[in-house]
Amino acid sequence: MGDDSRSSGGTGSARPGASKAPGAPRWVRVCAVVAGAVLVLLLVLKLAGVGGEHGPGRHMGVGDARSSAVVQDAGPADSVRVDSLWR
Amino acid sequence: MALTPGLRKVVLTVHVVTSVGWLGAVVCYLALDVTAATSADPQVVRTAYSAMALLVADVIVPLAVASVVVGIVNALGTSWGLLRHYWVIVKLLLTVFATVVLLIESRTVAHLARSAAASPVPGDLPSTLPHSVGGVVVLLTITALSVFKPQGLTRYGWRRQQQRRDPRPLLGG
Repeated sequence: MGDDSRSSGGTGSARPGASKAPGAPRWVRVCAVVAGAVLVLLLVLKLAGVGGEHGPGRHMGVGDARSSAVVQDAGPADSVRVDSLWR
Repeated sequence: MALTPGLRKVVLTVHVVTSVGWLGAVVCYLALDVTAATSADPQVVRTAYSAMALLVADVIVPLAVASVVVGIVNALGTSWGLLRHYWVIVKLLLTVFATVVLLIESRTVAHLARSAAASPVPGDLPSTLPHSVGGVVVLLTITALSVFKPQGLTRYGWRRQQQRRDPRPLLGG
């Protein structure tokens, strides 16, 4: 956020005295399209099953034979605070 | 809610320190994450996971939460506002998104650290690299937004600007 000296100097695309509110600038529209595309891509990958399960369960032995073999001795993730274990 | 100039500088300093500190801590986490994912030495992998868990719980999560809270206070306390400029809104959304993912991921990292300590083959544990690389990218984007401040007023920001220039026409509606 930093220095706000520009904030009152018209950083927006509105012209002084314009009677109509400005639309979203191009960089916002481009970012929205890119974010939407990434979201759709992730959704498609998830539905296609590429990369396996996502989320904490992926690392906790749910649906992942490799990790479940390693972590089967560990308890639930939220049962013990990490700082009490590692100090 | 306008802050006094002195208080504004204090809030801004805390905001910069927590935000850049968050980025630095995540870069440190990334180095440990790469070590945990690539090292063939089980003891090194265990140590890396242990350090990652401590870093997340004691440094990254507190810095992230502080960055969100102080960032909101900083925005509301200056003429930038929270909803007047697109870059502030995008930055806020990215920061909140990164914090939520971090809070979810912190449980995973704690679990991985305990699992690594208990396992004879900790190198087989799944990596958290996609999240740490993604986190660095998002935080770099947030930092760039703060520096470049791309222009663009929201409708609300435009109305406030018009109101400041000529308050009379908008007083009636």
